Amino acid sequence: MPDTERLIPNNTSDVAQIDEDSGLHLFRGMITPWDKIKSFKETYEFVVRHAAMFAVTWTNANKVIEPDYEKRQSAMSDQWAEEMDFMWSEDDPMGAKGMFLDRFAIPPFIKEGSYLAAIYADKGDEQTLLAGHIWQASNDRFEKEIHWCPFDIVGPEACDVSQGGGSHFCIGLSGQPLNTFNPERKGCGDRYCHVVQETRDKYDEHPNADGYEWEHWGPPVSGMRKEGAEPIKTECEHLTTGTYYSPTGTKWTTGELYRDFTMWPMAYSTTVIGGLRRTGKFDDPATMEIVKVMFDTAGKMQFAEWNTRKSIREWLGVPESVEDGRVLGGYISMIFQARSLEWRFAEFSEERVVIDTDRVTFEMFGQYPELTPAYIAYFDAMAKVLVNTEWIVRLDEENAPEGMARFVIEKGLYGFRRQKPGYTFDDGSEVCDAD
Amino acid sequence: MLISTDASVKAQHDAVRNFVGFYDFTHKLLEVTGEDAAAFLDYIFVADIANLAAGKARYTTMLDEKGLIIDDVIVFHLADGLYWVSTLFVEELIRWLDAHKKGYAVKYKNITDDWKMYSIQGPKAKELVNVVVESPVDDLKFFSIVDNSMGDAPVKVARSGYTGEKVGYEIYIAADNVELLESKLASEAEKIGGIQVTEVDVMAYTLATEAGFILMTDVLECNPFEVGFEKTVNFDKDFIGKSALELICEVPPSRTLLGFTVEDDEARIYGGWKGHLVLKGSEKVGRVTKYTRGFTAGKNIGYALVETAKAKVGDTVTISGVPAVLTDRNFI
Repeated sequence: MPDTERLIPNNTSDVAQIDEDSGLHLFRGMITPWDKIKSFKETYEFVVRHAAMFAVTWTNANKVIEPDYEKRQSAMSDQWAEEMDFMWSEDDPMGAKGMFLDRFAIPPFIKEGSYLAAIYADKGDEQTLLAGHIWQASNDRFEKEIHWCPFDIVGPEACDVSQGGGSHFCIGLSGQPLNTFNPERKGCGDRYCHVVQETRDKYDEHPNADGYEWEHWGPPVSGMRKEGAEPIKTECEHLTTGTYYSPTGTKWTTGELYRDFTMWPMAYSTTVIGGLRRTGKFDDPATMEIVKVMFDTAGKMQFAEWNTRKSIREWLGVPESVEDGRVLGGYISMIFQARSLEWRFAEFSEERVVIDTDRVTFEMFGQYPELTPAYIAYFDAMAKVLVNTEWIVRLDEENAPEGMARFVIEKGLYGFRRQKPGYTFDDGSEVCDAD
Repeated sequence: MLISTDASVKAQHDAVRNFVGFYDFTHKLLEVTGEDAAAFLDYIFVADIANLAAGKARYTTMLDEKGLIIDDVIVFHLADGLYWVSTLFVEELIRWLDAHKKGYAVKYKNITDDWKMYSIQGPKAKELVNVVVESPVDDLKFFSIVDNSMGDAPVKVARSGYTGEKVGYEIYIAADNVELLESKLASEAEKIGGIQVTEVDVMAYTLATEAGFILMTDVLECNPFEVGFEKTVNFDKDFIGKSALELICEVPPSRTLLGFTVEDDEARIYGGWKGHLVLKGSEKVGRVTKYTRGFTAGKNIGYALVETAKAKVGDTVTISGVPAVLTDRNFI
């Protein structure tokens, strides 16, 4: 048991334990190959933002793959709604309902209602570092306000999926038809983001109820107010206090919230993938090519500017003498640590870096293999800017240990060079294709 | 939408205060048995359980080793060596009991699914209960529980509640028979102007807050002295958290759970673990733990955990930009 009398003042996120042998404070977080330690708070913010960045790229790829907004949004939202209907159905096929009722200490007398949605959503928001608070959690009305959302860069498409899916969670738990509103989606630039859910039993069907479920926004039947004197929150309080309490008084440490987030970190990437699968887009090889191009752009843009490259090297603690694949390997290891993946360096040298990670966890319980080629494109692109264009990243399926994904960072040719048919190079080869 | 403008919530609140309201108020229930049941529960909870007579109940808190409240419950002594603990955190309670069982000869099990409880509260509660159950409850004293029946269905009737009403009962019935109870209550309540309460805001907030009752979210990481529970603690026995509490009570509590009222009926204030700040001038003096409408009190009310040295009953403070007055926690 940690000696709380010896807690570090203002320590963030319940990391303050004292090592009994040395008497030194123990911390959690990430560590770079050059022994630079990152705090738990920084790690948490890093992994959430990484998930958001990934979701942006998938979302943007989706806009190219399916330019029709309604088709695109419907695919994602309907898919997630179906999954929520299944997960939260009466039969409780995955045990989610039972776990929720127990873990959140839901009193037996609260069988249904928006109160349940409020409780579940609040914890989910906090674990995703969405800072805000609940205004109302009653039988028939739930209103939450968010001030800070690391996923705001993804845009309103993600919010629409979330609200549609969230309402199906409520329907599953409460059995009540709902009006669900996200009157301002912060991706549109509004500083306050409100989510309102009203049961139709009490508030009648909203005049805008016709149309897609996922496009319900502005204003709720019961009205809404935004004025208040409280300051904008820029971070969740549990990052400072180390504790989150739900509206029913059940407790999570911020470490537990982190664990829960990293169990399913790539949401909003997976919703895009789910939508693409639903419409059969992956049957067309062009779909994955578009995804790879998007992630190639993302990876290059991330570190192409010299200042960005310099600052990430400084962040990692890379010695000046290191100008090879180890720089990227170090960065990838931070992502893997932050995602709480099982991973290791199988090789870490000037010539080559080999990183293994548990493939099933990497691909979200093995359910989203599409993540891997996206990551490969992303890392391969990063290699060009973080190191130089002599370097590539590839997946080594042949030599990977059982159950692991093996990422190899090494020198290799890059790019597709097509020459006029019939032209031969000096070495007798015809077309050089290193892609 | 503000609760203060919700007609349904008001109607149900007023029904309880003026006539009678009934509602499913089933909590989680732990059955504790064994020759050491009394001694064990006496060790777990701060109140005197060992001397609790059969047929009586007691409200009490459970502390951790630091003297902080981790649950508030009602303990019912049903018969020799047989107790019920009514709580909202039965899984956590079981884990806690497992960790502190030591050598006590005691067994406990979660019987939540076996029983349902209906609360009947208000001036006409006795009248309603008497037509529902076989034996009249006229002589049932506060925080007592007796066996009774409803036709062939055995029930237990406790005189207790979470509303602040002088007359209130809680009927426990086997889960299989709950529909009988509900329909009987519904048909008989209608005859005397009573209604079924369905709003969670009424069951858990408006009535209880007016009467000064707490939720766990009001007392998170507090000790009993900070929330006015000092009289519930029996220092003449050993209990978990006693040594910490003895040190704590050597000095006045640094925080106090007070009530507050707001004249502005449209003031938007939120409570909970990270509730609105309470400001005195520009200085932070506390946080709101709960905010609701006191329909009987005629104004919006709430609780705030404030620093004792900086704020007291009678002070005018600012919450969410509106003036509020700190009060005791009973508003009716």
